Amino acid sequence: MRLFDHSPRLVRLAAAAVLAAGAAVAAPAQAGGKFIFANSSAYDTLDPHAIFDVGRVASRINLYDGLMRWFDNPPHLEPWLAEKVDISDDGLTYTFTLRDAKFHDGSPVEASDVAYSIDRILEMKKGAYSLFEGTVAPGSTKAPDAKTVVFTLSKPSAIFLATVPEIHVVNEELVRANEADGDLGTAWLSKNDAGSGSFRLTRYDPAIGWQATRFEDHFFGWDMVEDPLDTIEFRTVVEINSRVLGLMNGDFHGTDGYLPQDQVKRLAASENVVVDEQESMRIFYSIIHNGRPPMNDVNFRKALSYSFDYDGFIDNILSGSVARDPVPLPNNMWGAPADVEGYTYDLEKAKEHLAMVKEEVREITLGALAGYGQTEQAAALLQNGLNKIGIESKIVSETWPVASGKMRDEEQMYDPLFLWKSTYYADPNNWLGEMYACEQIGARNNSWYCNEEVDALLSEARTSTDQALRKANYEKANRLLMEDAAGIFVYNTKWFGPFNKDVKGVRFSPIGNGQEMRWVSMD
Amino acid sequence: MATFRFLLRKLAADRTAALGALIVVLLVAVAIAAPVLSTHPEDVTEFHPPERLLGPSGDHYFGTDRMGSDVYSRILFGARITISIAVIAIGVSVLIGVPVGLVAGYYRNWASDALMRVSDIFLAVPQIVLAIAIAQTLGPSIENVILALSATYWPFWARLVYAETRSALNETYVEASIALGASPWRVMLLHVLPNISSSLIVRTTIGMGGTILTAAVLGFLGLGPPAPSPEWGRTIAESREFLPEAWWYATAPGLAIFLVVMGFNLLGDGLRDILDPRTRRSTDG
Repeated sequence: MRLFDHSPRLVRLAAAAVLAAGAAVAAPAQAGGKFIFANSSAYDTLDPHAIFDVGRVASRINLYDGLMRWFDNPPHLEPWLAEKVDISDDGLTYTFTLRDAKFHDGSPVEASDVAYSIDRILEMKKGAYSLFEGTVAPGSTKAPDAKTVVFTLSKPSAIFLATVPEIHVVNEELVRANEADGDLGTAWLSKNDAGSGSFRLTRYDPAIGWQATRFEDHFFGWDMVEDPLDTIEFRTVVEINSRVLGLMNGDFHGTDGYLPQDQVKRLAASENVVVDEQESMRIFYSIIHNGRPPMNDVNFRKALSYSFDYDGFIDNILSGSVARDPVPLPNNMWGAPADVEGYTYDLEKAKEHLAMVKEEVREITLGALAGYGQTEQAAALLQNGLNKIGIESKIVSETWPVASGKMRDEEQMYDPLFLWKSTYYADPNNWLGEMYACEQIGARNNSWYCNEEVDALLSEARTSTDQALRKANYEKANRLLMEDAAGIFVYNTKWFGPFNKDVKGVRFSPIGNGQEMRWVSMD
Repeated sequence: MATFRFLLRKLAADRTAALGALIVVLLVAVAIAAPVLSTHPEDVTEFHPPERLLGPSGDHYFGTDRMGSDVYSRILFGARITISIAVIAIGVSVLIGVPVGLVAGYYRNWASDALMRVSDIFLAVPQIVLAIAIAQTLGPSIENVILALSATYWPFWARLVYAETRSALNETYVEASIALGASPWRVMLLHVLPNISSSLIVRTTIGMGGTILTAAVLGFLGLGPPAPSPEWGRTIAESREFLPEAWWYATAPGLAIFLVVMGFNLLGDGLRDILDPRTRRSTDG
C-alpha cells in the first residue's frame, strides 16, 4: 500500500492560490518586513520535544520541520521533510524517504536525525510523548541509509501518520555536542535552535519572547511567496487590552484568534485590523471527575449537565460566536454524529436526576482557569444553576500550570473543570481517544472515566485502518459518552484571527492556528 | 467620655478629618445595610446573561457586569468583604505586633534583639511581594488574604511600639512606677501602653487604608476570594477585558477603593494632628 507518493505539489498550489488572492488587491510590495505576533502565553522553553500545546505552537512549526505537516482548514496532511511514505500492508512499518534539506548550521538533514528525534521524545517523556508511547518502542526506528527512515510500530495504529508532524527533527550532532550530564541537550535546546525550519532563531528571552530570521536555504524554497517576511517575532503580551490596542495601533501584526468576543468586535471596527473568521476545532467543555462520589453516579452527572445554561452562555456571553456542540468531538470533524440533541438548560430534569442520586450529595468544587475569563464565567453560570437545584458549590480559579498539574492527580483533580480541548492532530482520537480511553487515565484522560463499551470502540478505532468502521465507532462512542454525561459538552470554537490589514497569505489550520509564518507577506 | 467628646469636637473642627470620618462611617453603614440598600441583592450569586454589560441606568446605577449582575449591588456587598478583611488583618497585626514591641522595648537582652531582628527580616522583603508569595502558596481565598496581610503587617506595629516604649522608659512616670516596685507587666500595660496609644491609633487608622489597597491588589491578581465573589479588586480584574467600552464596570469598584482608602487616610492624618500636640496645627488654638 502506498500513500502520499506525490511531492508537496498540493501545498504549493494552495499557497499560490492564497498569494494570488492577496496580490490581486495588493500594490507592489517592498520586500520582506518584520512581523510581530503578540502571544498570550510565555515561551518558557523552545525545545520542540518538551512542549505540546497550541498556545506555544509557533516555535515548533517555524523553527522546525517534521516529516509530515498539517495544512489549511479543514486540515489535510501532506509530506513535508519526507518526499513520500510507504506503509506496509500489516500497517506496522512506515518507510519515509527524505528530501534534500539542510539544518540551520548548513549540515544536511539525515535519516539518523529523525531516528534520534523520536528516540529523544521517547526518552524525555514530555510534550508529545504520550502520542507515541506504546506504539513506537525506543530504538525501534532505523535509518538504513541517509535518506530512508523506517518506523516499526509495536502495534497497528490508525493515528500514527497523523501524529508524525509532532516528531520535529532536531540536528543530532548539534544537540549531542551541547549535552550536559546526559540531559539530552534539554538545557541547551530550551534556549537555542537546532532545526531546519523556515526561520532561524536569532534572539530568545523567556520573559520577552523570541525572534527569528528567514532561513534562505530552507528545503521548500521561497519562490512560492512573493516578498516573504525577513524577520518574525513572537512577543509575550499577557494583557488582552495591550494586545488589542497594539494591534489597533499597528505595533503588532497578529495575535491569537480566541479573544473574548467583545474584543473581536472592537478589533473588527478598527481600520487597521482585518479579522479572519474560520471554523475551527477546539471544543469547550467541562471535565467531570467520574471516579469520585457523587460524580460517579450517572444521575448526578446528568443533573450537572442539565444545570448549565448553554444558550445564555453561547448567545449572550459569547454573542453567538460559537456553535453548540453536544458531544466531545468538534461537530465539523468526521465521526461526530449529526443528529444528537444533547443536554439543554432544564432545571426540572436536573432535579429529577438529582432525586435519583444514590451517593451522598456534597459541596462540589468547580475549577476554572485564572486569566481565562470565559472559564470563570462558565463556572459561575453552572454555580448559578446548581444553586437553584440545591447543589452547593465553590469556584476555584487557578493558573494553567497549576490546573494542568492537578488534572493528572486523582486526588487533586477538581470535581468539574472548564477548559478547551484543541487540535493537535486532526483525527477523532485527538478528542475521544485521549479524553476517554481507559489506558489514558491520569495522563490525558483526566475524567477518570472508564467504560468498557466505549473503550472497546475507541481501541478498535485506534488500531483499525477501515475508515467506515472507525467512523461508525466514533459516532457510537460519542452517543454513549453523551448519554453517560461523561462531561459537560458546550461548544466548538470559531477562530477569529485578527491581523494587520497589510498582512497577506495567512494559512489557517486548526493545528497551527495560522501561525506558520513562511506563507505570510506584508505590504 | 470626656476624651471622646474632645475628639469629636476636634474632628468636627478639622474639615478634612471630618470628611474622612464621614466616609469611614458611611462605609461601615453601607456594609451593614448592604441587603437593604442594594437594588438587586440576589445578584451576588445570581446571573442574568441576557442583561450583561448594560450601561448605567435608573435600574442599574453602575450598569451590569459580564454575567449580567448589577454592579452597584455587588459593590455594596463587596464593602463587607473589604471591611472584614481589613479589620481582621489589622486586628491580628496589632495583637501580634504590640506585645512583641512592648516586650522587646521593655527588656534589653538577647531575646528583645532576636524579636526585633525577626521583624527586620519581615520588613526587608517588600510587603506586597511577601503578601503575594504567601497568598499564592496558600491558594486564593479570603482567609489566606487575611493571613498574608497579617503576616506582613505586624512588624510595622512591632517597630512602632518598640520605639515608643524605649522612649517612654526614659520618662519619670515610668521610672517612678518601677522604683515603687511595679512588675514589668504592670508597667507595660498600665503605664507604657496607654501613653503610646495615640500613635497606635493613628498608625492603625492609616494602616487600614493601606491594607484595603493591598487586599484589592491581591484580589486583582486573582489571589483573593474566587469568582463570583464581589470583592472590589477582583471586579476590576474582571472588567479589564471589557475596557474601554464598559467603562462603568471598572470605574465603580475603582472609585469605591479610592474613596475608602482616602477616607481612612484623611481620618488618620486628622487624628494624628489632634492626638499629637507636637504636630497640632496653630489654627487649633
